Amino acid sequence: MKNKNPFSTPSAQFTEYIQKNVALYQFRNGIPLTTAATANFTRGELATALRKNPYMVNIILAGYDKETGPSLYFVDYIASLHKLDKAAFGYGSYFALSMMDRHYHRDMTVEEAVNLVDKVIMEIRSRLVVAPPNFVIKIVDKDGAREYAWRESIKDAPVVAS
Amino acid sequence: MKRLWISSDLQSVYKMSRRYDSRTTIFSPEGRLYQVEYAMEAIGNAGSAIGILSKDGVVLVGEKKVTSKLLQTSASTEKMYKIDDHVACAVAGIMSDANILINTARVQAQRYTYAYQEPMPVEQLVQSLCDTKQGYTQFGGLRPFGVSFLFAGWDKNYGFQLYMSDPSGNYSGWKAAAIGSNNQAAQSMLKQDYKDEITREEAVQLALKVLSKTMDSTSLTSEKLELAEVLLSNGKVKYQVCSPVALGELLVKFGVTQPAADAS
Repeated sequence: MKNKNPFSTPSAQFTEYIQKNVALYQFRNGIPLTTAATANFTRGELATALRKNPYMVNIILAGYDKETGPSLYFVDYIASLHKLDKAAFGYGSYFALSMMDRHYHRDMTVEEAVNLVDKVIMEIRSRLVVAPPNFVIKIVDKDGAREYAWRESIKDAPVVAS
Repeated sequence: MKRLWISSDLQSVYKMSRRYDSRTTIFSPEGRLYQVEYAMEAIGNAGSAIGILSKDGVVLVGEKKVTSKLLQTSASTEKMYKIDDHVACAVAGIMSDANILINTARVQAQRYTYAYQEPMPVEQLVQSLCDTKQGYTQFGGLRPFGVSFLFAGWDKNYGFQLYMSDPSGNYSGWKAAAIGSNNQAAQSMLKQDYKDEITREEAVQLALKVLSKTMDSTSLTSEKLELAEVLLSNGKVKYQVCSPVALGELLVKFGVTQPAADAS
């Protein structure tokens, strides 16, 4: 009777499974999966597992396709799928969504978007009781996905030789 | 007792090779798979089909072997089938085998769309079907399918494409290809006359011309042929079957009709 608890498997297991399937598709077929196709495939896997052994994973999927540009998909743990301009998960999502409702507009530049992200982080830090100390910002564009910056309140203390 | 392809006049000299006829799952001493080759023999006796890739579409033409005034031809086709909205195929060989594979291809296409919410890329569909065909040459002890296909389709990765596949499960992409009876003659004729920037209308003309020259029958009428095209219309892929009336007009227009012996 092991692992009847749906919260037991870590989220990395599911997302790595998706990652490797996306890579396999590219190896097999010589062309990459579009962001939309990846999102639908991911949702399908969540949906199949939902009524037996659900994955407790929420996903915001960001991708860039040569033909259609950047796109964002919201996939929650009960296999809803929405193509959106802005998305948020977690306890801080209420604050994030409110800030984005106020400040987001279409055709923002990357710089404006990062400024908005910083505004969101400030809100979470000040308003959320259980706010996490550190944030990482990643960007997905024509050159792929990369870490852009960290916003740290608590930096790792340097190791002192004993 | 299992029905298998029996060698005919092919290997009358090599008596020993008959030992390797009866099972698909073994090689002959010369490294051949006889059952696969016999399947291709069967296709060589079937009605021919020609496919031509053009700038703005793919043309498929097929020769109907079963022609009779008694035949009810209202909706059914003998040579061409739609696999998905963006892919169609022409068939040469055993019709009942073809029906199974066409259904398999249709299911594979829908299964892809179910998972990815996108049309299946044409080459992937062909590859998937050929993987199925290959299985029948390696395990299970079942005979191969006696069918060759010409797949015509469009996808956003490579535009218009034409593929040919045979009972071995091999496939390749072509600019122009022929399957069925007299396919070698048709293929060499296509090689001579095909030009890279051919338009769809020129491709139709070339296909009809080549077919008329390689068909065995004495007269060429629209009842003996099927013509279909895969093209883009308003940004969407369209599979268009030519009506017998329009086909007859085309035959006259291209000067390809030969009057039947008893024409008035």
